[in-house]
Amino acid sequence: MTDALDYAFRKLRKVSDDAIASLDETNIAQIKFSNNKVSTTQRWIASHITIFASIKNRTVSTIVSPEKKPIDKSIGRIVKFASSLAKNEDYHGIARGPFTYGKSQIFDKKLSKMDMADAVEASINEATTNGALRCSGVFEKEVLKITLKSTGGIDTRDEMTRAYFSIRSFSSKDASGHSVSASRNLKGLDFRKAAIESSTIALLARNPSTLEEGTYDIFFEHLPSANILENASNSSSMFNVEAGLSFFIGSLGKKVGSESLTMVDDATADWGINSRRFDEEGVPCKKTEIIKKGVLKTYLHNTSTASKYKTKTTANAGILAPRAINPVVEKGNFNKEEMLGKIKKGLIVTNLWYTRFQNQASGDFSTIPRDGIFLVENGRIKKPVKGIRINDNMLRMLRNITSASNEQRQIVGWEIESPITVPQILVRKVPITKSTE
Amino acid sequence: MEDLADYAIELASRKGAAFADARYEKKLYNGFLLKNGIVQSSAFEEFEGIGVRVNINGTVGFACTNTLSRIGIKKAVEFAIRDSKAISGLNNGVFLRKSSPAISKYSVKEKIKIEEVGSDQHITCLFDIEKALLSTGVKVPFRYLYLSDSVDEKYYCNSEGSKVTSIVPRVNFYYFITIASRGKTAQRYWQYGKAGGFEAVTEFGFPETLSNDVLSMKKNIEHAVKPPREKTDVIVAPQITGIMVHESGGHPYEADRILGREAAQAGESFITPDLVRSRIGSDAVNISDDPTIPNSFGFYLYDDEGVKAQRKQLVKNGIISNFLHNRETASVFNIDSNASGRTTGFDREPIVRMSNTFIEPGDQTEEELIEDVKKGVYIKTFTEWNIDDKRENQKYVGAEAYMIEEGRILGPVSKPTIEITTNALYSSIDAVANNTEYHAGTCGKGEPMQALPVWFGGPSMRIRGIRLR
Repeated sequence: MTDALDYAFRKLRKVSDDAIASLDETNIAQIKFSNNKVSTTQRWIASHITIFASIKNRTVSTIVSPEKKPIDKSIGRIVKFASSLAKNEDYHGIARGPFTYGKSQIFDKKLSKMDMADAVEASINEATTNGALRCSGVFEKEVLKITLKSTGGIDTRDEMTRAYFSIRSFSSKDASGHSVSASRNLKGLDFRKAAIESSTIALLARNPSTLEEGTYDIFFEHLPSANILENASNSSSMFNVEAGLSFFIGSLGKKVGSESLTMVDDATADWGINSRRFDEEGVPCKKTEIIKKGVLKTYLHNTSTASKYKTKTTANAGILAPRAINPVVEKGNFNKEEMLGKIKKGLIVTNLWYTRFQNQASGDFSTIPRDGIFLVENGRIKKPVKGIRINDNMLRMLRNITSASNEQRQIVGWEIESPITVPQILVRKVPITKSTE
Repeated sequence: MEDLADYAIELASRKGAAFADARYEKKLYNGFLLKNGIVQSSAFEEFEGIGVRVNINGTVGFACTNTLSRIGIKKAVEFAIRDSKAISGLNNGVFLRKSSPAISKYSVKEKIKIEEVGSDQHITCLFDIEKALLSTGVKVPFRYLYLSDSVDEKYYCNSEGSKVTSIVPRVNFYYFITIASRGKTAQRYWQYGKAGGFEAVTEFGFPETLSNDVLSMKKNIEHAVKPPREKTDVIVAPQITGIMVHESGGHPYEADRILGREAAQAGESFITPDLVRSRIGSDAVNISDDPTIPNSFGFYLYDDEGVKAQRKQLVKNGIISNFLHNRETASVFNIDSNASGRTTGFDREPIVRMSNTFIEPGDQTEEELIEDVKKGVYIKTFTEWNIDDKRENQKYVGAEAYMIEEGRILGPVSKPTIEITTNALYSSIDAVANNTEYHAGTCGKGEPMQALPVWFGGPSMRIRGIRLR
């Protein structure tokens, strides 16, 4: 396969001023289960070359199969495409290497060879023994090899394994709980904990009541905490700032959250499910402080956006759009019980769903708690509730984080496409509404 | 490549699959982005490969590859069989529903062939919209305009002898803009799409449409009043009808949700199998899904399981009448599939999906619906929306909206918000107009995510006596 990459790169550099070619070789296996049985097995065996080229500041990207004929065709098309494009005035070059890279990512042979069906069966048994009537979810594992070359003098590769397990348990039609586990290696996957946690929430959520509208202090478990804080991570991309897709526009150096909020992007952490040795233009990944004690310290850049704004790349390419690779929100000093103890009247939210913005620049949004929701009075769970919606503003919410827990977790989920590591958070005065019947 | 797909079936059958199908797909794609008047990196792609599915021992196994050789196909088939056999202790006993063998070739005509349109023509279209936006005189600080097109060539075959070839070109435009006035901002986004050639870009009339959008949003920012607090009548225009019917009139009728197959992802449904023939709305509510509408964004004549497409009526005169099925859910219900199995490409399994979902029109005009409102609100477009994962509690926030008094449209209203249960919504519709429009969307479902082109739509509807926020 690397022969095909070499071939593509040789041809590409003849026609481009700047070029990056990256070969991805993947083998992904997935078991999807529902109602305690397997719905389907899925397998993806794929290899492709992602190409970026700049010809006289006309920029083009494409993906091609690693074979001579399609490569020839694509490179011919890149030239034709670029010849009739306008200049990309936002393009300011790619990284110039060579660079020295850190160690390779985790490649766990045990994970790549494990029996997935056994793990799924054991998890279902664990959840049902704990009282769940039925469970659904997925277990997915991936082996990924990346080889990257660029006209910036970069020639590097990486190899990794990663896996993700998601389980949603039901104890009745109205009562469910969800939990996930993600890791680079088999040792880090905690199937049992996820199964127990999802089924325990489902059991506690039985016979939910309705709730009065109003403002409530909310303790967000890891899944919903990730859902909220992923938006802060996305808002830090310079591309999103320029497009009006960020609530951090004009906020550099300003307070965007409470003292309890510190977020870094640490793609060097080898346990990060998306961590890499290098970003998509081959710059060695690093640790970048995005928010420190509530103050926005930087936007995330690739070489091009950094040059435009006269700063340095944060090693977060995306060629088109810089993005966080392994965002991590710092943990706090409190355990869950201590945080719940601060709630006079509030809620525990265990999952969120369908978060949508009315205005991404102002941060106005709403989202729907899903799975177990619990009314808390004087630090104790009073009863499960249902049918509510959070209507708030993201900046107000970040500023109203009163504390973060001392337990961080890496969250990957159907609603959380960019993995993020978060603690549980307590947010005060969150507006709650419900539907008219 | 047909021979490779045929080989996959032959091999899978030889290795013991009770049913096998294969899909070769080649998708040519072009994408162009203009951000704040600057051309960004443009993209094209030729996405090609084969997906194969086997039904063996009551389990469905899927594998795909972009290595288009007999060795690549053999490896994919062997993985599909090996993976599905490995879970035999947990198999759900599903046998994909049989169907008559289908032999067909079809394509959607292009007046202007996408393959012959240069990148300069795409960029010119985007600059025309940019110029129109700037010429309104309205402050639009952020302008994100994205134009893409694709040609999707498929060959489907299965162990029943089906062989279906199709070519469907599509054009797609998405915009996201921020309008600023008097220290406030509003954001608008919308999507346009249809099956056909590049001629669609001209037919949509984007420069005028977006200019009007910007002017009305400026007026709304500057002059809108709060919506009435008391219960009121609401007329929703086709854009809102469309999103409502998609979210709470289409998704809950997907049989895989009803059976819990998507429980850990896109969720389930408040509908249970025994609710067929139960009342869900007023007599005025008729909901259908029809993939055969010519040039529709969700167009197909055979689904991705080789079953002949058909119009499905989901709700008739307010009564639940049908669900959407693929071969798997049809097998559980012991009925025939109604051809709702769709995928985004060769690398995804076919799951139950909508195509073009709509409220069927009535006899009255929109004006007649408005005339019969003493005091109310007319909502023309919307912004934020969401719905819970059982499709019971939904929210739609109006963007362009106006007060109605004594049957007349008056000044703008600020963000009238409908937050209502599905039962209350469909029971409160007392009349639908005859001004059907279809709108394009990209619907997400499945794991990994499958984002599919759909239309949703219908006519304006009158919703009596509901509370707005």
